[in-house]
Amino acid sequence: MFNNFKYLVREGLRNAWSNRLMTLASVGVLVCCLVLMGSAVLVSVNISHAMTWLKGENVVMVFLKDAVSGSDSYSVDDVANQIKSVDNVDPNNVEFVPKEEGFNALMSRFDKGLEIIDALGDTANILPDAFRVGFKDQSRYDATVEQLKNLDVVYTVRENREYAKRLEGIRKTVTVVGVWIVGLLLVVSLFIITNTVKLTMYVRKLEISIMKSVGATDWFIRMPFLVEGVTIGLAAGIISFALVAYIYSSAASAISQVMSAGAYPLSAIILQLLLAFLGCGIASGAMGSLVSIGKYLKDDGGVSGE
Amino acid sequence: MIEFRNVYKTYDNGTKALRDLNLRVNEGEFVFIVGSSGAGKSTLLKILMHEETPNSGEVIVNNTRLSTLSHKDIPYYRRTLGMVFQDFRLIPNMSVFDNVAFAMRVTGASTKAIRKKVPYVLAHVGLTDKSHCLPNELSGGEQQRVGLARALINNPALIIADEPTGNVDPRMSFEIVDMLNQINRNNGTTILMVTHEHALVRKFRRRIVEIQNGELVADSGPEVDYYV
Ligand SMILES: Nc1ncnc2c1ncn2[C@@H]1O[C@H](COP(=O)(O)OP(=O)(O)OP(=O)(O)O)[C@@H](O)[C@H]1O
Ligand SMILES: [Mg+2]
Repeated sequence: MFNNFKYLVREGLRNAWSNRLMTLASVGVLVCCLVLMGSAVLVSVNISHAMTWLKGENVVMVFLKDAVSGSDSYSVDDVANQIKSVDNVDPNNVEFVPKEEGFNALMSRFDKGLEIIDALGDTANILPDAFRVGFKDQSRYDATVEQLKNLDVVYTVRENREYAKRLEGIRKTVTVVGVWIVGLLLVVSLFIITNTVKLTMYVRKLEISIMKSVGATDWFIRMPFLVEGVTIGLAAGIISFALVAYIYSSAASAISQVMSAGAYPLSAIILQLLLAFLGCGIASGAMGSLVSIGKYLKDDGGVSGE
Repeated sequence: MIEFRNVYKTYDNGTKALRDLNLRVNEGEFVFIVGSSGAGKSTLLKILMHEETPNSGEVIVNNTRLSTLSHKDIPYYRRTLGMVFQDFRLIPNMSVFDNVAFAMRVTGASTKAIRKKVPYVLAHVGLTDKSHCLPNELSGGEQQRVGLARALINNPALIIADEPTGNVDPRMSFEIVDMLNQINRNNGTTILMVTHEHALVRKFRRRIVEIQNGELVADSGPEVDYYV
């Protein structure tokens, strides 16, 4: 049986080669499809990554009322203890942020505008003292924020949730649009692969009818076409993986310059990425060929070729 | 060996190719099937190959009712037949050897078995020195002998030949039928051969079945004058 396997694989490769123009076209279309699909997935992964990063920051800024922060006499420790005593606040993750530091942090967010704000001088101490507070249990986030807001000394709580929500929205859009594009392209590439294999089949009509007449099973007849389809899929998978990996690593360095979260590291997903590309490529190649030959095999006729 | 019982075949376009056909062929017989064009001879053979199925009636080959064969059984059934066609049906880009080997490979035979058996059968049909030729480098008679070698390679109990000499010159025609005759005599292989060539039918004096308009109109019966 192994002999046969080798023989059938060789036949399939011969098919792919003798139809190389169509093979090339199929690979090309499939590459486009896979690259777009991969990009959509990677964008989605990165947004998720940014979101978990935001959550992983895990902290809210608790700003004190001016009345408290402004008075020289208040005790940072007292306020810290008040905050720590709130249910679900992680006592090891409560950090005092004096107004100067908060201001500097704010300043660093602007780049060019720095001079303008500099001009404000000392009066620029517009921010109150604050605490950076982390939670133990993220699922009780809302309730804890509410409790913090209810403390007498607290002016407001700045959450990261707005960003998270917006990112979640973008992610959903990317996913939906991505799924549609991918679905559409998948249909197109299946169509092209199907036609490539059909072309081979037409060329090999005589061969198939002879195979049938000497008692070849469906799998024996199918194998070379399957090999042809899988070869197309495999080639497309490898090429698109290389393309996407290259594009991603260039994009990643760009992303890390604009976003402090940075891009999701390629090395962490490179294996999954490769497997996904190969898997998708092979699956669509195999499906394309099985679909195109299926109808032909159902018929028991065609033996004497009329 | 072969039995047709009240077989009717009407094609989708309404052509009645076989009407109430009854035929019995015993193991080891050599039968010429004759009849004018469009009589239904090829249809009869196609039913035997399970390429077409009858509308009604029963066909039994080697104790198998063909109507009970599932799609999966058909390849295995066909391996028990050898088929020879008028147009040879050789694969143009394969050598003589590979064309014959192909039929063996399909059955899952090992390369070793193929290397042993193919030359033996090619020798049998007198094509040893043409083994590496392509089909288009051979004469019609030689091509048909390749077809014959392919039909023989899996030791079928039944050979079905539809006008095997139709594209071969008369001298070669005689040789091919003579080969079939030898195979029948030596191996006891049952042979059904459709032909238009009365000279051959007269010369070999085997059983003759005549079909006209889809009906069996004459049957010389079992081979009485075998050794004439
Ligand atoms: N696939 C088909 N579809 C419709 N009609 C067909 C088909 N095959 C054969 N026929 C018709 O059935 C009848 C019998 O055809 P068949 O091929 O069996 O004749 P035949 O005896 O082999 O003739 P010939 O000697 O010319 O080969 C003819 O009228 C033919 O036109
Ligand atoms: Mg005919």
